[in-house]
Amino acid sequence: METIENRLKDIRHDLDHDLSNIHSQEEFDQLKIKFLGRQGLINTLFKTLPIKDNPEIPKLINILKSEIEVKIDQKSLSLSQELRTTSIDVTLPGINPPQGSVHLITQAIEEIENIFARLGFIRRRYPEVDTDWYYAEGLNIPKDHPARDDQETFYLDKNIVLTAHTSNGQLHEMELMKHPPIKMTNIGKTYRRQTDATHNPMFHQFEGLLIDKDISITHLIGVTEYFVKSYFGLDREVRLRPHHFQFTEPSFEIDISCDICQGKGKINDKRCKICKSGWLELGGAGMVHPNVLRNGGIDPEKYSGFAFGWGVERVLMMKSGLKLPDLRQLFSDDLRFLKQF
Amino acid sequence: MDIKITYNTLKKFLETESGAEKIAQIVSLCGPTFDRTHKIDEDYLFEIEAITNRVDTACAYGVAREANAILNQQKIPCKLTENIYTEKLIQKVGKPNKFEIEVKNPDKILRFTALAINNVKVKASDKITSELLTNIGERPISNVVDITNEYTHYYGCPSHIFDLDKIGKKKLNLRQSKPGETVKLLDESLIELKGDDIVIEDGDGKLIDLCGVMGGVEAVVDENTTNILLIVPIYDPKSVRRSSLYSQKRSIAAQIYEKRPDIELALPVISKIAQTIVERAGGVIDSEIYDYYPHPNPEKKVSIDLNWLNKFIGINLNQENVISILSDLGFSGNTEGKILTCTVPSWRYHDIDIREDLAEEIARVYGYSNLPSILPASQLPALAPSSLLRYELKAKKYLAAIGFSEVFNNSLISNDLITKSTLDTKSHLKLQNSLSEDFEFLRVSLLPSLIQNYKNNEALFDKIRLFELSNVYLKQNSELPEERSTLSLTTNLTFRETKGIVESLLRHLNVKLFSWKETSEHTPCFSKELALLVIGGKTVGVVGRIDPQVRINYSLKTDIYLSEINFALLVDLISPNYSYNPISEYPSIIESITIDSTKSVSELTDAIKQSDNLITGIEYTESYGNKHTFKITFTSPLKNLSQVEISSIKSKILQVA
Ligand SMILES: [Zn+2]
Repeated sequence: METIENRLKDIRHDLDHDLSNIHSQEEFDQLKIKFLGRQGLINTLFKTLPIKDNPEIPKLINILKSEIEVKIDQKSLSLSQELRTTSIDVTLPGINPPQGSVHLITQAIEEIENIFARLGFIRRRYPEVDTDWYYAEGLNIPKDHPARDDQETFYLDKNIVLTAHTSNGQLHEMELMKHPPIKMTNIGKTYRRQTDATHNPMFHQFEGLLIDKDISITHLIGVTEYFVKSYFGLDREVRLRPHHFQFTEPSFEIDISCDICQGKGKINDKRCKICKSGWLELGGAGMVHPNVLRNGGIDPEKYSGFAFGWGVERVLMMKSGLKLPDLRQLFSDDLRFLKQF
Repeated sequence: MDIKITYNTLKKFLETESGAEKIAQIVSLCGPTFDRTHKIDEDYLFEIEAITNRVDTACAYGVAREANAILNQQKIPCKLTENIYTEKLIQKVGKPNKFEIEVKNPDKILRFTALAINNVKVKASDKITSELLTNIGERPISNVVDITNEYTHYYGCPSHIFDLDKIGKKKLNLRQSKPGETVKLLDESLIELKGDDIVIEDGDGKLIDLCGVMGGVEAVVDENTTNILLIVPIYDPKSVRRSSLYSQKRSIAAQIYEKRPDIELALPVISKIAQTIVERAGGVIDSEIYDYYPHPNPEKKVSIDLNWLNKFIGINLNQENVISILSDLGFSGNTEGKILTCTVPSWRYHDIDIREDLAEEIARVYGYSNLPSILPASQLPALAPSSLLRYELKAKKYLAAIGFSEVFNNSLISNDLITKSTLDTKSHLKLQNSLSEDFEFLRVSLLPSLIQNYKNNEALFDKIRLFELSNVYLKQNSELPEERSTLSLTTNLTFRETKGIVESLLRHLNVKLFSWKETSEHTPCFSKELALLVIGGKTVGVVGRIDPQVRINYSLKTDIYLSEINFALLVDLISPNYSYNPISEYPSIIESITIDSTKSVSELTDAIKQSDNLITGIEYTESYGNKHTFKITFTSPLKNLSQVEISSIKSKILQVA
């Protein structure tokens, strides 16, 4: 009997010692298992002591068990107090997962695609390397037209070009759809044979094309305004100026009001350096030329449409207030640049 | 074509009370764009952009005509003060008696007018003329020459003056040049002609004019000149453009001729110039006006249905308003019901052909800013967008989220980059007219640039993860290259980490069944340590260590790992549907098993997978030599598995070794 009481005493002693050394939830959980777990000290007592021979023994063990439970409960309370007050330096920086970046141009393309998608325009991808027919002749630019020798187009051979605009998508789309309604955006890489601070030989354009019954100039204005206000902000204004492109008639140059001088053209009585008299050029647009409709197999007596082709980098630079000194920086591979976005 | 005109010059043709700024602002929205307006002394200078097909607006008179129609529409009082086409000629048209002209290339000479004036006094121009020319960016030369430039500025119809006494035998032979002939121009430059240029040769065989581009020095007017020959010709536009481009003489005359100026201007302009010469330099007109004009343009008519017009513009326009706009612009015509039939004025002969052209005239003068903004309510197109574009964006966003930065490289690369990455230059499409060696070939792989991107960042960062998802351009049997969407990665992680990134991307894109294959074939850029990604029996991509030679070529400090995936093909193999495996109600049992085998881990994994269908998970843990440890999950959808059942499956697994 004495040895039994000694064992119980040892356990009590053990418990007190352990309890005083606990400072975390994990240590506490382990202690609970050690004393009260399935293979814990109390259960071991039940298994190893001759409890059937002496009914006093289970009583004693149960008393001990409830003592332990009370102490553990008390500890649980004090521990939670303790854990609440002890603290790490919470201003230490968090440990971050590796962080990458989606390129600014991709972000702009996604935004543009989504704006037009809300109006039901479906995004397509058409060739960047295309035949003269889709790139020029089919767009009402005859073989000997002066627009041909602007020296800005890259050629693979005399009939194959790297497209300098996304308008080649127009005829492809008409051929694909065969019948209006046609509502597409073609966003892709384009190439121009020049390089300076505002030009990279490769850049991106987005083309919009809508052909249906009774499409009018007012619709072109509507869609342009929707894009401009969605992309640049509700306070920006749109204006159309007459222009000339072979594949649209009439053709327009589209301007949006300058955000730097609020469309006034002047800041503190000095000429705004960003814009021309309060306006920034967005790009060209127009009503699809009847010859182009015919070349795409669509009857211009039944249908009309409009098209536009604007620069992705251009709208990105106009919008973001990025103040990049050089457009070519968008094509930098410096992670110190890329990771900023 | 950019031109400069002064406010006072504009007012010479346009009677108006409107200020310069106001005119600039209003006209810009409906006609030629006034890019800038500068205040100069008592005047203003406009910088105006004449659109390529509107050469009629590349002069003061043309701008005034536009402004008149536009201001009228805005109810701003104004009046065009002159009609040059109806003015009386200073001399009648007839035969020249002081000079002789022979046209040997009639298809290139659309019109040629000439007139001789004797006893002129050549001196400097007066102050007003000199100032005008200086303001518009031209150099005053002498009173007579300045008059030709002044009138080009007024009416957009170039003219030229020769010293008649320097023209051998007083004879002009208009002909096509022969290759190798040379002509010395007024600016003293000597041009070697390519042949087929329009030139004038005098009776002594000297070339005195590179027609439409610049006069020759042989018959230049100087202070000793007394007798002059004034010409106002109209030349073939393509021919002038060609000569001007290759000789790099982009004179104002050439820029006008190549855009087809009004052929009906020649006579009134030569008359006006002659009159002004007499006024300012004295002299006597000594001939009738020579006028070579073999094929006058027939009258041109274009009809427009007002119902169509209203639908096309999108609002209902008042018929009288439509007619007044057209008439202010110089159109005449008649109306039958809703159909207007318009006669095109000579100065618009080449740019008005179809009803849409008339619609533009009406709409722009009416004012685009007066049109409402309306969103079209058309139906959705019948064809859905391609999933490739959607998956490209999904992949890009995922890679960015797990630490990769996206790069945009040029599709055009240099031979140097191709060689460094051990690709074959011959497999690349080459530009015929590249800008520089840096942008000469269409890339067939994204890796040459992407390894360079890595190199450029190597010194700056410890961990580098880069990707690009773009087209490559592959030669194929058809006319056009295949433009294939391709994904490439470079990292300085380990092989297994790089491979793991590709695997996690595949799962993110809902590609569940894929495998990796060893290969003995060489893949450019990659060392032998590479694995092929196989989906549905097709090789879709590759992951591996950089080829040691390529590493040396790029001077990389460490080995890096690369991956290139045919993204277009991958997207074709993506299952568009999600599949669902019911979760068993019964607990799974997980056990570690070590297999001693010379087979590859992937072969073992496949074999284990097939050994029993109660195996629901295999996770590779580690290898020591040929001993490979896997953590295997056993689950039954129907019951709790007993130790006996597990043991029997385990013994089957051990047999795969
Ligand atoms: Zn501004």
